[in-house]
This record gives sequence, C-alpha cells and structure tokens, in this order.
Amino acid sequence: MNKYKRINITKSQAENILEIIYLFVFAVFVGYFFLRTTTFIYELPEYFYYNVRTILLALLMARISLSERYDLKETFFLIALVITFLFAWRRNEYEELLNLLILMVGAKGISFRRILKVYLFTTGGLLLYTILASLTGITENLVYYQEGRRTRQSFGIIYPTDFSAHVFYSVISWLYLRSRKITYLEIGAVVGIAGFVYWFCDARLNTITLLLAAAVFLIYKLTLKKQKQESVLKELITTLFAISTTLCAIVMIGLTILYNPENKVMVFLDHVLNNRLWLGKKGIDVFGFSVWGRYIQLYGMGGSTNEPKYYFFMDCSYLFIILQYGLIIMGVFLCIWLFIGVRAKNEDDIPMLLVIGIIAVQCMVEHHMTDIAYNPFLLAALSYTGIAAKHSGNISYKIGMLTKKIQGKRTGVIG
Amino acid sequence: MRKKSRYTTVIGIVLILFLIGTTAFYQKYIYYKMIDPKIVTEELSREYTIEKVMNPENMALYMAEALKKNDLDMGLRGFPIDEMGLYVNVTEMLEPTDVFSYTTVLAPSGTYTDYFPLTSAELTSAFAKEFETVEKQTADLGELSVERIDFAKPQEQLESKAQLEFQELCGKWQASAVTEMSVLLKNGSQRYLMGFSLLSYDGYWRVCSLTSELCGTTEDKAIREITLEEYENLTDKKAAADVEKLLEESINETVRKEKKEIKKEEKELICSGEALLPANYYVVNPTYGKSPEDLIGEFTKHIQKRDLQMVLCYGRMDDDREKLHTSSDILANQSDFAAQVKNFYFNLLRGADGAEGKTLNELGESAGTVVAKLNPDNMFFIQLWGVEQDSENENIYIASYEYAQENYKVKFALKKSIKGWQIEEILQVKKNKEK
Repeated sequence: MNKYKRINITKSQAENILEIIYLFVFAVFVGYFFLRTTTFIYELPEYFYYNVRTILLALLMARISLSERYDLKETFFLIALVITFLFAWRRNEYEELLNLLILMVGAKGISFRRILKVYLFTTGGLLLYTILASLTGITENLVYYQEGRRTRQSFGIIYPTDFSAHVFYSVISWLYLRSRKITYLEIGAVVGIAGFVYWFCDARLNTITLLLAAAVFLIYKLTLKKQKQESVLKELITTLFAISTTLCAIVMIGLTILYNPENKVMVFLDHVLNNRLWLGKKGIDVFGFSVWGRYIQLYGMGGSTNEPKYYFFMDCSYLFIILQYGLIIMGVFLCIWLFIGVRAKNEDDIPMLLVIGIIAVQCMVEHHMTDIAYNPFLLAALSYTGIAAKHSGNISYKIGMLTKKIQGKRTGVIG
Repeated sequence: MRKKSRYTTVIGIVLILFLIGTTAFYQKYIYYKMIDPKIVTEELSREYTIEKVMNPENMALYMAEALKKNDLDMGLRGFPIDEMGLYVNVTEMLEPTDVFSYTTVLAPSGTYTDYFPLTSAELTSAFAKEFETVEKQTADLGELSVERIDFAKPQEQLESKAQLEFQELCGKWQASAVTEMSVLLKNGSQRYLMGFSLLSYDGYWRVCSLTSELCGTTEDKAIREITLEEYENLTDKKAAADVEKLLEESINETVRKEKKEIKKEEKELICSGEALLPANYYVVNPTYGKSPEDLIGEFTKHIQKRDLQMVLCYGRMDDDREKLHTSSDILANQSDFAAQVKNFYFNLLRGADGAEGKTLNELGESAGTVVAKLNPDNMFFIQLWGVEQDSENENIYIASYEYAQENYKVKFALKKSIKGWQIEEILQVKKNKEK
C-alpha cells in the first residue's frame, strides 16, 4: 500500500500558489531596494540580491510555462520588450533595466491592485519603521542646515527629497487603492502630509505635487456622479491625462535643449526648477543623446550632510532616462505609460489616469520614475487593472464577459 | 478598442515619435556641426611606406636621411611622440628636490590619457626644435652621405653604469630597451660623426634624441669632424654583437625572427629615399568663437567634455590656412598654448595653491600624491558663471569659474580676426575669495 497520499492540485491552484510565492519574493526584492535608500547599516548574505533576482526569474519562468493566457500579439510584444531592455542593459550597464524588465513581465497575469497592496505594505511599513528608527537613534537622521532656508531632515532616508519622494509614492498608491472610496478626511490628511514634508524636509517641489494630488482627487470625488456621463470635456481631460507623461517629457526635454543662460526667461525658469535646466543642458552638451544610452556617473548630495566637492545630478526623470538609457528605452517607457493610460481610459479607470498625470508632473522634478524602490506604477503595464483586477480569480472567462459588457453599456467606475 | 481611445493612442504615438525624432535630429545636427580638431597638412597627407623600423641601425639611417633631406615631417615620424606621450611616467620623473614647475613638467598623460593631446603637442614641438637645430648644423657641411652606422662604444654600453642609466630611461618612458648609435658621415674626404639615442618599444625602434653621450655630441654640437681611425675606436665588432644579443633579450622570439628577416628590406627602402613612417603628431584646426563669451563658453564646454584636442583649437593660430604646414613655428605655437592649458588645469586641480616653483619637499608631497591631484576627470565639474571685459585693457577678458566649491577668476587675452575670436593667451588663474 502506498503510504503517501497523492496531493491533487488543479492548474489554477498551482498558478495561485506560484503567484503568492512570487508576490512574497517580490516584496523581499522591493524591500531590498528600499533599504538601499536608507541610512541603515546592515549586512546581507553574499549574493543576496542576485539570489533573490534569480528566484524571481525562476518563478516568472514557472508562471509563464503554466500560463495559457498568451496570444500571438502579447508574445511578440513581450519578446520585443525583452530584447530591447536586454540590448540596452548590455550597452549602458544599468541593471535597473534588467530588474524592471523582470518585475514588469512578472506582473503579467496578476491583479495590479494586489501588487500595489503588497508594494504599499512593504515600502509603507518600512518607511514608517525607518522614520521611527531615525527618531529613536537606531539609524541616522540626516539633518541639513541651509543658510536662509529651513532645516531639512531626511528621517532615515539618504536625502530629504528622497524621503519626500517615498512619501509621495506611498500617498499616490493609497489614493489609487482607495479610489472612489476616498474620503474628504483622507484628502485632508494628504494636505497635512504635504505640510509635514514642506515643514520638516523643505521639499518644495514634492510638496506642490502632493497638494496637486490632493486637489486632483478632491475634484475627482466631487465629480463622481458627472464622470458616468460621456462629454467632450471628459474626453479631453482623460486624453490629456493618458498622454501626460509624453507631454511632460516634451516640455522638460524641450526646455532643457533650448536653455540659454543669456535668456532671462530661461534663467528664471531654471531658478524656479532649482538648476535642473542648466544641469540637464550640461548633460546634453557633454554626453549627448544616444540610441542605447551610456553610463553616466552622477554625484549627488545623498548619504551625507557634508557639502560635496563635486556635484552633477539630473533631477528630472525624462533627462535621466533619455541620456542614460537612450532614445529607444525612452520611447519604450513613454509607450508603456501611454498603454497604461489608454487602457485606463478604455476601462474608465479614472484614478489610474489621475495617478499617471500626477506622476508625469512629479517626474519633471524628480528622477525616480524607473526606480522600483519608489515607483510601482510601471508594473501596471502587464498586470490586470480596472475591472479585470477586481475579478482576478477566473480571468480568461470573466475578461471576455466583462469586456463585452463595457463595450455594450457603461457599468461605472470600479475603484 | 474604442474609436476615441484609438485617437488617444495615435496622438500619443505621434507625440512620442515627435519627441524621439526631434532629439535624434538635434543630436545629428550637433554631430554635423562638430569641427574636426585636426587638419591634415600637405606633409601629414603623405602615406607611410614602412610601418615600423625593427633594427636600430636602420632607424638611425632613417633619421640621417630625414636630416639630409631637411624633411621635418619625416624626422618627426621617427621620434617616439606617441609612445612617450602615452606612457610617460611623471611619478618616476619627479625627484623630491626637483622643482615642480607647471611649464616644464609634462602633463601626466601616462597616468591620465586625457592629457595626451597636451603632451603630444609639447613633445612634437621639442623634437621639431631639436631636428631644426641639428639640421642647420648639417646643412652647413654640404652634401653628406652615410658611410657607416654602428653601436656607439658598445663596451661601455655593456657596463653596469650605462645599463643602470638605460634602465632609468626605460622606467621614465616605459620603453623595453635603450641604445646609442654612432653615424659616420662623409663629404668627399672629410668625415663627420653624429650620435643618436634610441628607444625600443616591443621590438621596434624610435630615435629619442639626435645626440649621444657616448659619442660626445650635444644639441648645440650635434655633428663633429672625426677621422676613420677615431671612429674605429668608438666601435668594437665583438662588443657590438654582445649589445645586439642583449637588446634581443628584451623582445620575444617572433619579433626577433621578423627583425632578422626584414633587416635588408628595411635598409633598401630607407636608402631608396622612399621610407616614411606613419604620422604620429597633429596640427590643430584653428577654430573661432563668435564673441568673447561664445569663445570662452566653447573652450569651457570642451574641457567639460574632456576633449583637450578641441580645446587647443581655440588657441591663436595663423589665420591663413595655406601657411598651415608642418613647421616648427606652427608646432611651437601649438605647444605654447598647450602649456598654458596645462597651467590652467594644474592651477584649478590644485586649487591655485601656489605649488608652482616649489620642490616636492617644500610641498610636503610625494611624486605620487602630486600626480594623483592632477586627475583631469574632475574638470568635468568646472562651471563658467560669466565673462566680463577688463576695464583697463580691452583685449583682456576675465572669466568667473566655479570648481570644487571654490571660485576662480581667469584672465584671457583674446584676439579678434575676420573669422572670429581666439585665445591669444591664458594669463592668470586666481582664486576668488568672494562667493
């Protein structure tokens, strides 16, 4: 008699188990990147990062092999994505591209809301712990004293604006997850957080984007009923949000190329943007645009309160990407954002459109668009969002049913 | 896809293509606007006929032919400009009691290849001056022909004192071997002696000096009368064979074989007058600014780009392109500006600390520390804040720079011509205490 009982698992159950394991390893991977943005002194086992990435890759391969949800178009798209990212990575040496590729492809078939919840739980939890640790002396709270300006604190993160960027993305993630259930109290809390970031970190630009987020979601909440009606204004606004990343990229890159220190308007704009234009122009003049990008050593102020002897940093995601990762990867990222935006428009996923718009603006003054420790929204590209994300159990049948319903009649926003 | 979303997709893709297309076009435009920092003079346009000279006797013969023909370009190609420029070990050259002079010390291009254009310009000019000085001395003696070439005092070359000196020279210039050759020249019944010093790099030879200590010749007296008997006393066939054997120890078997096989061919080519080595120096392309601000802005931009060859193009050169030949005047002009740029770099990199003219002992630094402070990579961080005309002299412009959290005022003497502005001289680099 066979003393071992056979365990029968269906394919769907195997997929679910793999998804859970994947999400767990994903949390560890993201947690690792988050820790690198803190002042914690820690020692991890040798090859920890490479091992986690390898496990993630193995799980991804296992999920792909089990999945029946790839059609020809999707397959070609994935192949093109993989080839482009790997080509670029080998030429410009930025491992971030490889990591992002693994995470984006890995997110396929998983509900984005689920990914975002895991992400927010991990980074949000770590952020709270980091703040507490910095205030209790477990880790260093870098304090920057500035002549004529308020003192800046980093609360355990390597630089005050990086701390405010973590806060920004955590807030945006929360706002998206809450969507139509968002309350006026929560929007008020966002304003309060913006005030906190301004008062303690003097991160003026991130404060503005947090206030922008609060304003945008307030308007969203106030106009919930009107959103169900189709109108020219709604079409215009949703289109604008869907293409906002590209528009912001054109504005920032255009302004930087046209920057001229002898033009008073440009000088004023540059002053408002804290020298982002002249630093970006220097990057363009010295390094130039290239097809696949190049490695550029950046010298920032993070990690220490001593004023650095040398400074060169591109604090704009669009310049950061186009100069370092190249023209092709820039085009790919803008296409990814466009895809997310258009899909959100199709699914009437207004909160996603709002998030895209706010991030697009924030990325004009911050360089974290492709940094997985900060921005999880690129993972929405291949995962399920909107209606499909709500019914992510039996996807293949339900997507077909639900898509037909949307095309036939409007059922309202799923938040 | 909904019809309206299709429009969104199309608009989005058009905008993305517009952005990528515009930036690609902008980059192409910049590329086409780029100026070639070098010009090809008539002399430099000549194709080489021999890639390298493997035998020291043939190398000495090549140089003697160049002097005979008064062919400066041919002669320069025989000097180790590239080799010295790429491998110069300034740490080895600086002694604790040596004065650290920004003008006489070569830029450490062996450690930092960015400096190579400056070192190359300075070495080229120095060799050109030496060639012309020696050529003038030989020109006065009429039609000279080469009678013999031998190792100069080979017995002395084998002695440990000479070997030690040769080793030091190898250390400074990263050469694999050193030797000295004596050249017996004849004009009718009168004989003359010249001596050359040679360096070997992986089996091929270059002449590093048109003088030889063993032959008793100097730059001021590079050629002297000699009798055949006196010349015979300088040579020794057996010792010469030992010197040759010693030199061959520094090269590998393959190169040794190649050397023996082509010795006769090399000599025939050189004697035919057609031998010409590859070009190893450059002449800068004179470039102009539209205004003083534009000139100094472009000068600074190329420093940030670490393109020292382009930086040298903004130094004042003759406007007349037809006059741009391989001449010692042109090369001297180029070298002077290279020395000024070097001075500018050293001042900024050392924070204008007044190190110029002090010994290493007085600076309290080792040669290694001195060279480490001269890393040109950091010049990327230089920032030009403004240019203003000097109130006392309209040809002088003062540029305000920031570098490594310090402010500097740099005085430039500029010259305006029909084609635009050029830098005549970099006069002074001074730290500005005001922020």
